Amino acid sequence: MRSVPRSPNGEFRLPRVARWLLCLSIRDAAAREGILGDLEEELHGLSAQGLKPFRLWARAVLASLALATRFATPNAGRPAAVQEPARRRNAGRPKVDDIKRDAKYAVRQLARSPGFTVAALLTLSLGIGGTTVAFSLVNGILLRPLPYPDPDRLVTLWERRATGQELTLSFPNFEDWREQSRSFARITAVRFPSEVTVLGGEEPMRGTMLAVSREFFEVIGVQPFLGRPISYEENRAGGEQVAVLGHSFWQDGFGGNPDLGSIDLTIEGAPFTVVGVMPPGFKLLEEGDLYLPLEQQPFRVRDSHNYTAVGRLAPGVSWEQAEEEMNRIAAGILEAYPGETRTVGVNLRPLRSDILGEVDRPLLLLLCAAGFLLLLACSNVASTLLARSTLRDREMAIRTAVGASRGSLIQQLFTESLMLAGIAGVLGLGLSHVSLALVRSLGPDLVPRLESVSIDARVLVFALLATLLTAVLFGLLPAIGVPSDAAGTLGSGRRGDTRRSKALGWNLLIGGEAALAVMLVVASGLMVRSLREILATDTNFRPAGVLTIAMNFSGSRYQSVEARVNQLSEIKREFGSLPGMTAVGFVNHLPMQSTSMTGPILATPLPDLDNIGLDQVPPSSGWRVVDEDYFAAMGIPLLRGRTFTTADGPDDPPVIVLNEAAANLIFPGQDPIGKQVQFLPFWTGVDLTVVGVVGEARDWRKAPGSQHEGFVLWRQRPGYTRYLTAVIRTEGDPVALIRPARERLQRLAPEVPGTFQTMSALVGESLKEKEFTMAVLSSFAVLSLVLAAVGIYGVVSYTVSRRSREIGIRLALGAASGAIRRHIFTRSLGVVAGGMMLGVAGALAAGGVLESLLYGVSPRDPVTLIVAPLVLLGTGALAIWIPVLRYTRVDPVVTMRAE
Amino acid sequence: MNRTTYLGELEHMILLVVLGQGDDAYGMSIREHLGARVGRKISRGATYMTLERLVRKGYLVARMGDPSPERGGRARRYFTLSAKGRKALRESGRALLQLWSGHEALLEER
Repeated sequence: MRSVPRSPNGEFRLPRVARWLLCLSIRDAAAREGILGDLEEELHGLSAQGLKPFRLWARAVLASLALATRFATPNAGRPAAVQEPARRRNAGRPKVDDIKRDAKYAVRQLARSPGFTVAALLTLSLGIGGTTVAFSLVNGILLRPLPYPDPDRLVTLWERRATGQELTLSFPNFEDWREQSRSFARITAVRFPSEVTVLGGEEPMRGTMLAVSREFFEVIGVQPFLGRPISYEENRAGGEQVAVLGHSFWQDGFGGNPDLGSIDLTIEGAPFTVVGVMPPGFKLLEEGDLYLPLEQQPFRVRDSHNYTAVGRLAPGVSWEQAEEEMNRIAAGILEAYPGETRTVGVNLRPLRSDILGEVDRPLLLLLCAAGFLLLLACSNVASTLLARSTLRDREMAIRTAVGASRGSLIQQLFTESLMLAGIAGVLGLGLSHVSLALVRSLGPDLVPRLESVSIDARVLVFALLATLLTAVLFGLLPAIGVPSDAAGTLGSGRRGDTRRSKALGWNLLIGGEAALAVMLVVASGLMVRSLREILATDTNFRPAGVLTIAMNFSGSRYQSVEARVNQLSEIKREFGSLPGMTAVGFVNHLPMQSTSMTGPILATPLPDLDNIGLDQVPPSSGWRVVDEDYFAAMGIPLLRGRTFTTADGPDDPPVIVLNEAAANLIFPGQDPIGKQVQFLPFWTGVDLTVVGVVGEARDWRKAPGSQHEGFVLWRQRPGYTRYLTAVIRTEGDPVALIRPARERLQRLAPEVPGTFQTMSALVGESLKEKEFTMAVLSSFAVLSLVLAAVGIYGVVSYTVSRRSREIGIRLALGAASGAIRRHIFTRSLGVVAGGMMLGVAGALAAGGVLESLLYGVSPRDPVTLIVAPLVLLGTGALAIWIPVLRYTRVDPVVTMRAE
Repeated sequence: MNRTTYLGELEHMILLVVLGQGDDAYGMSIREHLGARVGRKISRGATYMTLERLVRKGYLVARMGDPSPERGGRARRYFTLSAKGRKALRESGRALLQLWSGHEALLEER
């Protein structure tokens, strides 16, 4: 009855609450079906009459509420004579009444001590909420299976050199692998993604093309959402030109046209037939807009590594067997084609690890933090409930004395704990719902698969169980200790709790909480400081007043380099006459665009590349092709030497400009000007002379000094001019330039797709991530502080209140209230300070784990290590001072008479 | 005597409406008809509870129709009178009519 088919045109639907209410209250399935249907039909009619959705909703909910109460209490409002049989039926089950009574009592108990209730609810809901969010992230990103059938059988395959270097695949090797291997059900090869110009939609578009070998659809096990996959016949030399579209590309570019045959698709000037559309959200490593047959003209050079290989392990084949077989095959290939390949073995990796990449570590850290948070929340609940349990010794004793059974006492306490945990669970769930929505809206690009993160049953059960267990365990304590000696407890009267053993327990609790909180605050404090350090460093470009236009010259008209260069020069001239502009430059990739076009820059003479160890190859630098005005247009400062000029002609000796990071990397401590380098693999065999060093225009997310780049002049390397972004700096508002710039581009090159964006908007997009990261880290710190404070407050207020009689006596005997206050205050604060020291020691010990994540801040950063504990101490002091003040302010006579 | 109680007011009215609507009587139509003819809006809860009670007592027989989209894919629950229901209605009606006879004039006089 739960799964109801949707109204086909997406009109009014019965709200879930209403359905839920009725499903719960109406037992008879047929009656329920009829009533639900009637309600839906009625509201459908009202909706057709134009009743507003909100009113419809309210009406539906109210009606179902009325129905539900009516059906849930079948005899309400009926004469007593009719009710009688029903009563007799219930007589055999007195538990319902008991539970009602217990619940009522529990509500009274909770209402009687609002301070305790609020503290407990706060702790529990924050704990449940915080952990649910963290676990949702980890669960959604790490634990949930990939969206392919049997994902754990999917592996990526890599060629391995004798030096240990790992490479993507060459096509001849792939053909041999798939022919010889028996360990895999199928292996597929996917060419590196490339950007192509696509016609046939409403406008010219750029799309990411993935050429896939014929096994692709079988390996991933995902069928097209519409149409069919590319067939084996099509995927070979001479096969028909067909394409499968990515879902969002199909939606955006072709308006989701379901008649695939009517689409006139042209890719790079060649006609293609659309045969299928992939399901929404589908991607394998890269998200493709177009999937094309790879094997019509594969690149058959054994030492050219352009393909990613993904295999599906055959049933029953173990990882080791597959690895062993693949290594054997690689050795055979090496023997058969000496000199053609340098691959000595094959590395296998789970597909999961390639998809998740480096996200594992920060997320696991988050998980650790969440674990701590949960621990903190649980210990808080434990302490508050423990505090209450001793307060209720007497109540329990009285109840036993007047005849309550132990069972009923336990049931009562259980109901109370359950009710507390239940309310907190709902609050916590709401909290996590809100924060997850926030997380999703703020950090879309930060982690892969974030869009798939939601609260699922597994996460919920986990967090609820953890806190519930704590709540119930500690909530039941009073029932366990007392009834054995009811008379003793009663006889003893109320004397205040000064027993040493108990005091030690309390101190351990407070101290432990302080220690945990300090560790959390120090860790998040270090991360926040490190982030601040990164952000405080200049990113070396000025986004304000800059318009960017990403252009694609890959169409058939621009196959020749001359045509492109001519067109670009013309466009540059046109843009140069835009009103208010001060500089126009070109670049292939903007500073924040991460790109696969990276390679090592090596000083000449080059080392022997075949025998170079992995550790001797410098980190890759970004390959940037620019014109002479790019630096001025982007506002990148020149630090040494010169930038490019119009005097650097196409046939002059090739020159290169390094950014500061690259210069420091390649020529540490030397002046790089005049030195010779090579940029692999983009310009092999040619020595480039370094003429200048510019500032490191940097993505804010990257640590300063980590974004190495080398700039070459487009006139000297015109082959890399298919995709260029024009950078226009203006004195006015760059948005105002969009329309005239678009008109000019349309007029000059109507089939060139252009994407117009202001640099500020591009930077703003990445700034969202900054806010996200900061918010997550700061909220963890604040949350742990609040939790610790609440816990300390609970315990101290309890212990002090237990001593109020003793305090009253002391005051009556003439003790100064200030002295008593100071005494209690310093003792409690001493415990917090002790725990704090422990926490600092723990944070120091755990510093190694954090080190790799930090920039510009040592894990032993004295500022954080001093400030964080001090903040906690301050919070702790406040949490202690309030209850101390409260209980020592009272008139001693009142306290003593209170018995 | 196999039956000691007569129909309740709402039961009586509902059985009459079902009788009048033939094979097309279902919850919403019954309620609407009552509202239109009697001028009294009967609450959903009372209507449905009474309908179910009449089914339980064996006066009404329920059957499911075909699901339709405007009902969110749910079927209508149609009601028809059983033989027992007809008999009960007839007896209740007769009893009331007998009691009524001659009283209308009395009401007029006042």
